[in-house]
Amino acid sequence: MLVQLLINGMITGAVYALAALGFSLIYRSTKIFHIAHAAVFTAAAYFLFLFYNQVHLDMVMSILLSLLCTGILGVLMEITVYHPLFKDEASSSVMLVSSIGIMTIVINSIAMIWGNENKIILSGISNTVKINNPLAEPGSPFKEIILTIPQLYQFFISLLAIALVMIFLHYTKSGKKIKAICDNDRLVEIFGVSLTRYRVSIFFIGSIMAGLGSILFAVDFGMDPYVGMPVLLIAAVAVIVGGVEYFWGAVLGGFLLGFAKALVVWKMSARWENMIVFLLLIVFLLFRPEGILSRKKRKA
Amino acid sequence: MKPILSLLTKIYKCRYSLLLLPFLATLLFYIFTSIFSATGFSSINYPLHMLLMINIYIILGFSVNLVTGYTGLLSLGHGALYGISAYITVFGLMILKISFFPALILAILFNMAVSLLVSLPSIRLKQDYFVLAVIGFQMVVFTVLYNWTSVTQGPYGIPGIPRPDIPGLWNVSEPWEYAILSYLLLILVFIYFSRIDRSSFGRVIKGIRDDELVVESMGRNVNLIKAYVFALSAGIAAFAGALFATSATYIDPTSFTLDESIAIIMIIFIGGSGNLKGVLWGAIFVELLPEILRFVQLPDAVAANLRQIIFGLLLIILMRFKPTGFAGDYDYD
Repeated sequence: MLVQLLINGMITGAVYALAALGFSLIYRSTKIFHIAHAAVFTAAAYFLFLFYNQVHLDMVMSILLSLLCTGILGVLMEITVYHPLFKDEASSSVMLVSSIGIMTIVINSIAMIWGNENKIILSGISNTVKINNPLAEPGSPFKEIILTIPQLYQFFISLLAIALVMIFLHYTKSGKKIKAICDNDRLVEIFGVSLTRYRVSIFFIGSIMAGLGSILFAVDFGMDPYVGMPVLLIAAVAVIVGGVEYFWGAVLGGFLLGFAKALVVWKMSARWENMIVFLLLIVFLLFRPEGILSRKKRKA
Repeated sequence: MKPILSLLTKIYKCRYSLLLLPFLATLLFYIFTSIFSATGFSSINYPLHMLLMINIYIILGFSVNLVTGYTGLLSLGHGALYGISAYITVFGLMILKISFFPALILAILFNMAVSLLVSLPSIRLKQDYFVLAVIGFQMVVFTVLYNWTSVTQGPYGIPGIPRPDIPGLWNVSEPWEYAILSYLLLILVFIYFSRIDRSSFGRVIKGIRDDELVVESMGRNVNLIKAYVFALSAGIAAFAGALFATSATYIDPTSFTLDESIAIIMIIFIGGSGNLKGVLWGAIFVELLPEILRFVQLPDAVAANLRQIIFGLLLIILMRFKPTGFAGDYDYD
């Protein structure tokens, strides 16, 4: 039972890690606490619903199209709202409040167009895969670990996407420029890098990552207009718990929260899984506000 | 003519005359809708209920103004504080069987205690983390209210909440009595607030908002003051929660979502924060907007979403072009 839950936790954790990495990318480089990431997350699922269930394209095509639309949505947010504020050197509170505004607009527009109720993309029961559990005691009812096909997709696609983004960030020239923007954007601008262009691409990549996570969840569980907010909370908490100063921190935090939620589901009930996220946040804010991974700082 | 004019100027200059605004706004709205609607003048109970709701929102606006407008801490958890106090009032009235005012005091104390739970760990960190912790708090409170069915009855809500009363003196039941009760509580909050506005404490918290370091170098414990302000604000929110629970006589968790928190903070973003008058204008706008949408005959489901969309648009536009709001002192910079 425990092994099954831990594996489930790892799979959801992988998707959280993906969303958290997207959030971290935007937060670290632009210093915007991008609450509208929640709206981007929700929108991606509905784009998929639009293309697959309403326009009836095939699955791969509709996923690609909805990822593109999600990326464009993120870029639109940057161009229309954040960038003018950035040019005016607005404070982070102003950015945050504007972000809340964007979130409200997008989520309520979705609710207005598609309704508040739950939507399902694939109907029917998904196929499962059974793996022998090497740790099970003989005679226990949990001899096999049961995974659904969507779960396998969730895990491997998330890992692949995380790996790709990490390779991009750490080993390509543009990725290194993004990392430099995280440290000091004005200095990078002095060296002739167009901040405007990089911010647009950061929003594009970050939004696509959230969208991918959202699509992976939506295919499995369906969605309603309010799926984004809990995931945003998890992503933001994952970034803080894992450590704000590293991209790996977001990934680590995502997996940690996945496990923590699985344990709560096991010990208590699935209804309380949002609680553990908040508790972890409070515990970390109290005892280790810099997160698990952190640079050693010289005492000022 | 002259004495009347001087009297009017006096009324206009007195800050307590601001309290007439909700009444005047409701009256204007009532007359306006009666003229333009097909059925003519409708029952007076409806505008009285609106007046009550405006007063509730003004109290909430003052509450969030204290934290956000005066002290500069962005709070997206006032919907939760509002909800907790509503539920605690109901708990006091229905389970402890105490009357309205003791239940209100219970709700105030409980709210203050809960607020410390959130503020103490998060307040010494930077703004973003505080906001995150408060949003987290908002969502957890909603989860608890929704899922702890043995106590809150979850999504079914709690019906049959007793009406507020002062034993032996006053049984509040008619809409006009509610309006008066809400005015009484509002006046209490307003007096308290105008005192804070002019006091040295008010200057200290505005100082924290404008430059924390300066206040700290004057030997004040900034984090302690912030936590204290957040607790005070939670206490003020309890007035609104108690009023709402006993006037609606039915509560369920969907009244206390993140959307509600956003609506509450809209009060000070539209009206303007850091002073007294902004809250009144903002609350009147936030409460009248859905009524206007209803008046132009939009279906309820669309109107709810449209209201939030308008709020979102206003947030973005105001932040870009007029961050002080329409009558505010502080621009969140």
